[in-house]
Amino acid sequence: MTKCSDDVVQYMHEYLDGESNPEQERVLKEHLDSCGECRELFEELSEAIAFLELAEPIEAPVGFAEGVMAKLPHHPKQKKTGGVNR
Amino acid sequence: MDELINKRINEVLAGNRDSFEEIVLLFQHRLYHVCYRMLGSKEEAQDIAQEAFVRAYTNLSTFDQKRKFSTWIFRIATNLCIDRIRKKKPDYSLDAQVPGTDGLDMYSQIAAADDLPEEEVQRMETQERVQYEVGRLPEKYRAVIALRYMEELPLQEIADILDIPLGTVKTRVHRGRDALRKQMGTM
Repeated sequence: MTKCSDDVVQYMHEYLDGESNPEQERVLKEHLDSCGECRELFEELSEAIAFLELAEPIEAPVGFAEGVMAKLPHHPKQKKTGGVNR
Repeated sequence: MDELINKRINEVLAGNRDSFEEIVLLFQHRLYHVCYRMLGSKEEAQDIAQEAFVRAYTNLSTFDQKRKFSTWIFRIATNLCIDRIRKKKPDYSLDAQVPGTDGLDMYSQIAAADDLPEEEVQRMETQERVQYEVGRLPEKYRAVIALRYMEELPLQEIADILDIPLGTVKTRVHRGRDALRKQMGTM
């Protein structure tokens, strides 16, 4: 982990979450320009995200919905609160 | 979308079972996908995702139609996944600190136990590797990482699904990303 302030690491994460403001981004950019260690950490975090985004969506197998329907009990539970009949 | 779903829900509640299948068809792929990412097995993903729909059906009258159905069904599914993951593990407290370590809990021990030799990881196909790395994340990070990066859900919606504060979701996303970075080392 970097020796630099926790704020910088926090700014990195907020930036990666798309939640940082322009002032934080300016501070972060200035710091990264001058600190190789933080720059490396930031690049590695960005790579970790890029890696996750390689995951392809996976679809439920054919027959999934029929399988659910076959497992359903006969009637859903009714609200026990009583009251008005439909 | 929500209006259509509520219409179907009301049909089911009025006794039309078949309307439930339309709800299943609308959400099956997303739900199965998240279960697969959390459990790492197609058989288990199918088992748990189907169980989530059955529970949703059984408890449909408790669903508050002012809220998002997707959040509700994802919550049922992620809870079932977490239960399943815990049941597969030996019987000890996951949050207990490991004696003689500096604040390590059992989560980190389990992640470490799943390590494969480096050469084997290098040989993996991309999709296999992604699943392997996600599967090695501690489960509390795995859930937020799957919902954030595989389902691409907003942080607030993840907080609603997992029923935890937004700040906790952010912390887990941050730690999850950092854990992944460390796991992967230099790629």
